[in-house]
Amino acid sequence: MFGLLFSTAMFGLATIGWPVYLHVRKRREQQIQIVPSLRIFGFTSQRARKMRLQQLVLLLARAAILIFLFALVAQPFVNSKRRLSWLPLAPTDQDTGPCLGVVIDDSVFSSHTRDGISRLETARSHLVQCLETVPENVHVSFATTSFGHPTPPMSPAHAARFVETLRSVPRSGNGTEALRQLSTMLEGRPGRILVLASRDRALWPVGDLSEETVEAQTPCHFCDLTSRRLPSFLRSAGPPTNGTPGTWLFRLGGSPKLLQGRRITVSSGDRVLVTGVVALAQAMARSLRLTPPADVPAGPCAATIEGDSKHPWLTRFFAPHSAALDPGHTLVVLRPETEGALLADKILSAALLAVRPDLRIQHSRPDQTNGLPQAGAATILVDPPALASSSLDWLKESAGRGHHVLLCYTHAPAAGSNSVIPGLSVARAVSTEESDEGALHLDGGGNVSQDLNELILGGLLGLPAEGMLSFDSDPPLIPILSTADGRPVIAQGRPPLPGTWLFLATPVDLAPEGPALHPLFPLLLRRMLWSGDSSSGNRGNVPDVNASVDLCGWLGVPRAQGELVAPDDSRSTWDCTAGDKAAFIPPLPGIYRFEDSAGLVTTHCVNPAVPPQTDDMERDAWEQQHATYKVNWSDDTPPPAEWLQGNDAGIIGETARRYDLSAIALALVLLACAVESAALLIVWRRPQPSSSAVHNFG
Amino acid sequence: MDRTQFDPDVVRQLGRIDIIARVIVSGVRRGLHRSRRRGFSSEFSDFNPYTPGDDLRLLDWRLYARTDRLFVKRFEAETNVELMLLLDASASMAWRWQDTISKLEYAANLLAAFACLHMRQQDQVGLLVHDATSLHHLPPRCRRAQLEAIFSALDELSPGNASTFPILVDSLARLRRHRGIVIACSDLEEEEDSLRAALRELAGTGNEIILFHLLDEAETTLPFEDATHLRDSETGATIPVSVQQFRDQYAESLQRFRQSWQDECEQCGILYMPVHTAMNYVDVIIEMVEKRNI
Repeated sequence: MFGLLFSTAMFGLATIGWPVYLHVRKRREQQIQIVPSLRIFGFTSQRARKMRLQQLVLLLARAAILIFLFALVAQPFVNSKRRLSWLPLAPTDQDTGPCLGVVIDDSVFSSHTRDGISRLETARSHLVQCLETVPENVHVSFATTSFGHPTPPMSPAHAARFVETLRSVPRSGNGTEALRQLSTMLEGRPGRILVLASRDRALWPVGDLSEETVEAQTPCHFCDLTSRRLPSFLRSAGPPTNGTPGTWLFRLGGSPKLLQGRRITVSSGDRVLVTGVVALAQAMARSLRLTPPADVPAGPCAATIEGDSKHPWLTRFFAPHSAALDPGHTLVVLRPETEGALLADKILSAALLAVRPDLRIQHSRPDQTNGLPQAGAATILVDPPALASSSLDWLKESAGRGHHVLLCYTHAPAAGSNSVIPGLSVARAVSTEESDEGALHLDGGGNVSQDLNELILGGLLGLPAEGMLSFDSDPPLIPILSTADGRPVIAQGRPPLPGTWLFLATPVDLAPEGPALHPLFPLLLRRMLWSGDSSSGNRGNVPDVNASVDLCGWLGVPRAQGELVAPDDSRSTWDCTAGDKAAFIPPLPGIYRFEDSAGLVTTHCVNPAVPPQTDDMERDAWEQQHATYKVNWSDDTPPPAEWLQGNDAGIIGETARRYDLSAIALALVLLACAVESAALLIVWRRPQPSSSAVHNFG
Repeated sequence: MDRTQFDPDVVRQLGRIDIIARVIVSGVRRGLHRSRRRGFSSEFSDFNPYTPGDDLRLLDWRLYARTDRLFVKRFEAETNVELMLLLDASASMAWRWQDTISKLEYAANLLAAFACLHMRQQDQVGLLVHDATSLHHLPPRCRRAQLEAIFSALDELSPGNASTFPILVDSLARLRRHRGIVIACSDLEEEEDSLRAALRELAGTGNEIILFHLLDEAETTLPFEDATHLRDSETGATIPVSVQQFRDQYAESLQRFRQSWQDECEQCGILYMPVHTAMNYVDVIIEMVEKRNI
C-alpha cells in the first residue's frame, strides 16, 4: 500500500496549479498575429510544430518537478510484508503511531540474581528478544523505576541500543509511578505496556488518585522477574547499640519462611570470621546475634547471607569495634572517688546533660571497667591514676572503637607517679610568667578551632599560665591551642593506642572543680563528641552511599592528608583538617582505604543506602492495585510474539514494514530537472531564420 | 494632378470596382505622357508609300489630290493587343492588416483598371483567376460586356487556395492561342520551386509578361508590436517570435525575398514590379508604363 507520511504536504501540490494557470493564461493571452505567409520569415511549418511540442514537454517537466518535490516533502512510503533491503525504512509518526511502553526495573531491586544473572540482565535479554519481533512501525518508550518519567518514543532499533545502556541504579525504585507516567503518555494512542520487574512490595507503592483518570484498560504484560531474587537481605549488622559486649547483631528482612535456615557469613577481607544459621525463632524476630571471635581485625567487616554472593549492594559493612547504630549516646567518666574528682564529675555531667539530655553517662572508677558498655562516644578520665592492666585493656579497646579519650586533671599529679599511658609524663608547668602573659594562639590542625576562637574572644586571654600542666610524650603531642611561648593548652596525641587522645592543660589546683567549671571544658567536650552533623560525622556509624560525610570525622583523624582509595580502586587525594569540614560523598558501597602521608593505611566502610526489599505482592494484589490494566503474566520469560504483534485489541496491528520512497522521489526530481533543462535548451533559443531559407533567397 | 485621390484607401471608398477602374484610368490618362511607342489606338501616326496589296481603305485621298502620289495612312496601333490578366487569389492575398485594403482587393482594382484601360484601346482583354472554388477564365474579347464580366469576376472572388499561381500558368498555357501581354498579380508567397518553374514556363509562352509582386504594407513594416506568435494564414503554422527583436533582421529577409524574385524575373525576361498596397494606383501604372517603354 502506498502512503504519505506527511500527507498534508501534498496540499502544496495545489501550487502546481499556478504555473499551469500561468501557462494556460499565457496561451490564452498570447498575441497570435496571422501573417500572409511565414515564407518571408524563413521558417517552415515543421519547425513551428516541433517547438509547440517541446513547450509541452517543458511544461510537463516542470510540473513533474513540482509533483516529485512535494512527494519528496510528503515522504512517500510503501507498506510491504517483504523485506526490501534496498529501501530504507520509513519513520513512523511518533505522536500518534502505535507505541510499546516498557516499564523496566533498574533500581536496587534489579540486583537480585539467580544463577549469577541479575533481574536487570534478564530483563535486558527479554527486551532485546521483544524488540526483534516488534514491527518497525511501532515506537518504544521506556520508563525506568528509578526515574519514572518515560523517554520519548523511539524506533525499535534505537530502543535496542537504549536497552544496552541501562545500568542498575543504587536506590529504591517506584514502579507504580513509572507505570502511571507511561500510561498517561500512551493515553489516546494505540499501544500496550510491557513490565519487566519483580513484585517487590516496595517497588509498587500504592499510587495516588491521579491513576484513576486512565479510563480504558490498557493491555499490559507483566514479565515477572520475582523468581529471580535473593532469599533475604541484611538490614543492619554490627555491634548492638546497647553496648552488650561480645556480640554482633544482624537485623534481617524478608519473610520468616525465606529467612529460616539461611546462613550468615561475616568476613574481614578474605577471612571468614564467623557464620551462623537463621533459626525459626530468629527468622520470626528477623534478627540474629553472633559472637565474634576474639581476634577480630581492626578493619571493617562484611556480612552477607548465603546466596547474596558479595555484591556490594547486598552486603552490610560494619566496624566491628564500634557501635553500629548510634555510639554517641553513651559517655563514660572514669574518676577516682576524690572530692575534687567527684565534684568535677558532677559538674561535668550536669553540663553535658544540659547540652544532650539523651546522653547516657556512666560513672565508674578507673579500676572498675568491667561491665562498662563497649559502645560509647568518649571516655573521660578525671585525675587518671596509673591504670590497671584490665582497665587499660578496656581503654585500649574503647579507643580502638573510635572513642575519644579525654584526660582531665583537677590537680597536678604527684611527682614520680606513673602515667596513665605508657610514655606520657604529666607535670606542673614551670611558670614562665613573663612570656606566658601573651595572647593564646591556635596552632591549627585541631578539631575545635571554631569554638576556641569563640573562647579566646570570650576572655580566655586571662588564662593563668602558672597553674597549667605540661605533657610530654613520644611521639610528641600536637598542640591545638598554645600560649604565647608555645606551651600547649589543648593538645592532641597519638599514643601507640588506637583512638584520639586529647589532653587538657587547663590550670589546676585553683579550685577542686576548676577544670570542669572552666568554659573551655564543656565546649571542648561538645565539639569533640558531636562535631558537625550527627549523621555523617558520627564516628561510630557507617555512612550510607551518596550521603555527605565529614571526611576527618569518618576517618577518625584530626587531619586527613593522603589518598582515599574507593572500592573500584579510584583514588582521590585529600589534605584537610577537621576544622575544614571537608565533605566527602562516597559513590559506592564497600570498603575504602585511606593511605595517609605517613604510610599508615586504615580501612573504612560505606553501606548501601537502601536495603533491598524482599516482601512480595501476590499477583492478584498487584492487579487489584493496578486495576486500569489488563494484565497478562509470564514467569521470567519474554512475552509471546503474538502479544506484541497481535491486533486483538486493535492496537499494534500492522506487521508490514514501511519503506521510505524518498530516494526514488529524489531521483525522479533530478530526472525531471534534467528533462526540463534539456527542453529549455531546445525551446528557449532565440528564433533564427533557417539556414535553408537564407540559402535559397540569397 | 492630385495623386492622393488615387490612393488605394481613397479609391476603395468608391465601392464599385467599375467606378474604381474608370477613376484610375482617368487618372492614368491625365498623368501619362505621350508615349513614343505607337499605341493601340486608331490615332494617325504617319504615311507610308503605297505598295500593292495595301488596304485601299487606308489610302489618303486628300494627300493624293495634293501631291498626286499614293500614301497609306499609318496609325499608332496597327493591331489589337490581347491582354490576359492573371490574378493570384490565394489566402495570403486575401489577408489584410486591420482595416486596410487587402492585397487581393488592391490587385483586383489594379487589374480592373488595366482592363478598362485596354478595352478603351479596343484591345482584347481576358481574365484568368483561380480562387477557392474554381478556375475562372474569361477569354480575351473586346466587347463592352467583357469588361462587365471582368469586373464581376474580380468582385466576387473567394480566396482560399494556398498554391494558385502555378495553376494559373498551366491554365494559361493550355488556353491561350495568341501572343500578347500578360499582367500577373501575386504575392509570390507559395512554394518556391514550383513558383520558379511557373515563372519560367510563363516566360516561355512568348508573351510580354508583367508581374506585379504585391505585398501588403504591413508585410514591409511589421506593425505587430504586441504579437508573440506569428501564424501562417495558409498553413496555420505558428512560430513564437519577438517582433521588436526580429524587425531589423526581417528587413534584410524581405529584401532578400524580393531580390530573389526580381533576379528570377530578369532572367526570364519578365518585367518585375514590386508593389505594396499603400502605393498609389496611378503611380504604379505609370511606373509600369515607363519601365515598359525603356
